Formats: sequence, structure tokens, C-alpha cells
Amino acid sequence: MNAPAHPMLIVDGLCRDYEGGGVQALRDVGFTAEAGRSVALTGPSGCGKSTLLSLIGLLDRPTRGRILLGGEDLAQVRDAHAFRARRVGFVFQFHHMVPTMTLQENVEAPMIALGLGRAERRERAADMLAQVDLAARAHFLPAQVSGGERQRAAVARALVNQPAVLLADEPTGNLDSRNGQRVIELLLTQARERAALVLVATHNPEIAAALDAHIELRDGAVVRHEGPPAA
Amino acid sequence: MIFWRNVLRARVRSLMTVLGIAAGVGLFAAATAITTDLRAQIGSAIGTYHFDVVIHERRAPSPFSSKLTQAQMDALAARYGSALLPMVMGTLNEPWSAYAMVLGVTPAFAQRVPLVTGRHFTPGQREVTMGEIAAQRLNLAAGQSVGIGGESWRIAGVYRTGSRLFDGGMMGEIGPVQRLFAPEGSEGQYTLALVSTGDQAATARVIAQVAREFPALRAIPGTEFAGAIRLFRVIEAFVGTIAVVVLLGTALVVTNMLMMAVAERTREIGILMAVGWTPWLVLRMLAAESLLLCAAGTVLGNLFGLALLHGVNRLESVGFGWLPLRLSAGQVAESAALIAAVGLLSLLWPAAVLWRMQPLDALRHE
Repeated sequence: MNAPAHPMLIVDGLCRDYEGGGVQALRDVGFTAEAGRSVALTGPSGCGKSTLLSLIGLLDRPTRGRILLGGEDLAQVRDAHAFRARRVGFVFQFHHMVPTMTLQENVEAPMIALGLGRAERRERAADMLAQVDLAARAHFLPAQVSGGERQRAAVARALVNQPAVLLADEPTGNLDSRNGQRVIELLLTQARERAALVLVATHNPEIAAALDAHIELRDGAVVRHEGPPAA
Repeated sequence: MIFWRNVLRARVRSLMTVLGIAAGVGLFAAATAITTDLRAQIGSAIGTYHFDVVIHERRAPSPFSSKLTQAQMDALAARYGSALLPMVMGTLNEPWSAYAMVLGVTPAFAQRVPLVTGRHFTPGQREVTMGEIAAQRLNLAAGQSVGIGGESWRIAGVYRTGSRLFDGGMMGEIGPVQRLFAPEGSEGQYTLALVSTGDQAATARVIAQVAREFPALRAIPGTEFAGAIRLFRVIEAFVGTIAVVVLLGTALVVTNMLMMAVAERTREIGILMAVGWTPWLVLRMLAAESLLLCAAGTVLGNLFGLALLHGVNRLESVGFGWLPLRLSAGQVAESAALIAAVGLLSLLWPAAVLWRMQPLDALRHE
């Protein structure tokens, strides 16, 4: 019998208040997730999905509660920039590419944050773009490619530093169904190959159904958790 | 390439920034070139002819406005003999130049000045030897005449000292030149007495002797002559003021450009911070853009400064021979270094904004 896997992510009693506690974006949220798995975060707009992803990605700090990623307590992380570069990959709804950087340069950006040399950056970015079928578009600016291609490039950028966790906030929200499906398949395939944990905030029930676990949020609290047990 | 693209995305603003820097640099480069060049010209002329000591009237605000009497010059001649060279120097407002420089020198000194054409002036013949630049500007040659002080003077030859200041003027016999500058009926006066000593120790001795024996006179080393000219000090103060204004103006222009870039690109900066870029990395990107614009402004500014010098040099009212028509590599490097330093200093305010910026707020920025 296999020993139980250690959770990659532990979220425990997480709260995020705004306006001095007048607005509670997250209320006592807790769950665990294992490496190589995919978790869908669903719920209506304003339920706290994006806030939760921001806290896990250290774009924001919780009011109370704890997040452990790969055993590392995020409250103890001093250099959030370095942490994001090393451990987290983001995919946003509107791709969020830097418009004056080519797709290749956009994919290189997280590696610049890690201080990698130019030659290594170029090689890895080219390899990553090839994996998302964008080798021919590497030197195009974001405005010169389609929305689906931009989002695939965003996936490549999110994965290029081999992050422990991939946070995708409505990654298909701005794409047609065919391109959306392709992006999700790509995201899951690439993340699985790298044993990365994937958290996808989505309104799309088909996407949620395709993932390993499903957490539904309402008014900042977890109302349903299917898949791995809640913490 | 990213820097280029970022600079080119707001072309008009970048162009305005470059032109703003260029205007300041041009003014600074032209003004610096004039003062540096004037000093160098006078210094080189004094050095070329081995005038180790310059003696002038003590109370004169500047060696150029000094007046030495015949009695003082006779006493100096008795003390220093053939090592002494009396000189009359001044500018006249003539129809062909508002600042016509005329030197009165001894025939012995004139012989030391190399000729381009003709011969040196002959004493007693109301002749001048004309500087090469003046001859070119006035389209005159040896054998022709030039009007000075309402009289016609024959041009015996054309000389070239290598100093534009002197090559833009002319030299004649001391006595007649003294009469050009002296008021009607008054005794002719000298401007300076120059002494060739040969070495530093002898120079120091002459300076001490003059201080001791000629209380109305002042002797300075030839190397300090240009620095003793009050006009230069005024011009240098003016140039210093221009430099401060240029640097402040450049700092404001570049800071404004960078602040607008940060404001317009807040979301992009948020993206970069989300993927791990520190404020320092973002600042480096802005620094590259700032330096790129500063470099373009410096190149354009130096060209503008050069054009300014050439343009002003064509003006009749300025006279000729005074203005340098080129910028030295050192001057270009100085302006580049100053503007680059300002370009980097201009990053302070944007840096403060970046360090306060929260990635999440930046990502949500509309």
C-alpha cells in the first residue's frame, strides 16, 4: 500500500478582510491539494475566487489564517517577488502579456526575475513556446497574434520556471470554446508533466468537471468540496 | 529592443523629451565651448610666444582694460631689456566688424609670427599684417587696403598664429595703433608688457620684483592670463548658471516622462511583478529607456550646439574669430556624462512610486 501523499498546498482558516473588516472577501477558507492535481474554484462573481488565488500567489496577504505551499509557510516569506518567480505561475483571464515584448520575451520575463542568463532564457523560452505550438510566433508581439495564441503564450510563461503551483484565473473567459478547451488541455497536460498543482478559477462547469477536485465558494466561504478531503 | 519599443510607443512624447534635452545640451555645449576655447586660444598664444610673465595695471579690472604709461614702460624696459615686449591691444567698432581686434606690437615681435602670404608691416608706412581669418572673412589680401579708425591702412601680409582670436584681428606698429585707441590729444598708452623669462624660477623672481618695485603694476604668470580676464569669469559664471538650469530642466523633463510611463504602464508593471520582477528590475528597464532618450538628446544637443556656433558666427554683429566652430571630444563627453547622471537621478521619484506599488493593485489598474 502506498503511503499517503503530502499535500502540496494547505490552506487553513484563511480570511481576507477589506475596509477594516467591513468587507469579508474570504471567511475561514480551508482545503488541501496535492502536487500534480488540478482543482477548480467555482462560484459567482465576487465570491472570493480571485482573492484566494492572489493570496496563494503572494500578490496579497491574508488578514488571518495560514497558507503552506510545499511545506513553506507563506507568512514567513520575506521576498514575495522571488517566491512568485520561483514557486508560482499565473495565467490571467485577459492573458496580461506585456505589449512591447514579443511572445518569447514575455516567456523570458519570469526567468529574468530568477536571474538566469540570456542564452539559457532564450533556449528555455523557445522550448516552452514550441511545447505550446507557438514556435513560429515567438518573435511576434502580442497584438500580432490571436487571443488563443496569447493565452497559450501566457501558459508557457506561467510554466517556464517549473512552478510548484499554477494559478489560473478565468483562463478561458475571453476565448471561444474551441480555443478555451485547447488552453485548458494544454494547462493540465503541461502541469501534470511537471507535477505542478493547478488551481483554476472558472465559471465554466465543463472545465470544473474536467479537473480532479472542485471547490465551490459563496460569499467568501467554501460551500462544497469534491475530491480530496477538506482540511 | 524592448527599450526601443517602449520609447517608440509614445513617439511624440519621446521626441519632445529628446528635443527638450537637446535644447538644453545645445545651449550648454555652445556656451562651454566658447569659454573653454577662448581660454585655450589665449593660453596657447601666450605659450607659443613664450610670454612667461604678463604685466598689467594693478587697478585694471581685467588685463585687457589695463593702461600702462610711457614712463612705466620705459622703467620696465630699463629693468628687463630685450626680454620685455610692450603691447597695445584693443577692439574697435569698424564698419567691417563691430569687434575689430587690433594689436600694436614691436617689429621684432611681428617677425616671430608666421606669415601665410606677403610680408610683415613696415614701421612708419601705416601698414598692418592681417590675421588669416580676418582676411578670409573680409575677402582681402596682401597689397589691398583696410579702413581702420577712419584711415586707410595697407595690408602688408597675412599671418597665422593658430589662435582664432588673434587670427581674426590684425597687427601694426605700436605708435600708430596707440593713437587709434587714445582719445584726441592724449598720450598713447600700452595695454600690457610681456616678459620672456625662460624658466619658472625666473618667472617667480620677475613677479616678485614687479610687486616690489612697481606698486601700480601687477605681474602674473602667462599661464594665468586667461583666468585673470574678468569677462571670462563673467562668461563662466553665466555658463555655470546655464548648466544648472539645463540639468534641472533635463531632470524635470525626464522625470515627467518616466512618471507618465509608470502611470500609463501600471498594469504592465503589475504583470511583471506578478511573474517575479522586483521594483529594482522594473526600474532598470526604465533606466535604460531614460538613458536612451538622454543619449539621443545629447547627440542631437551637441549637433544643435555646433549649429548654434556656426549660426552665430555668421552674424556680422558678433565679429569674427571669437567663436569656436567645433566641439571637442572632451566637451561632448562632459555633456553626455552630466545628462546621463541627470537621467539616472530622474529615476528617484519613479523609484519611490515603484517601491510603494502593490502588484495586485497594479494588475487591477485601468
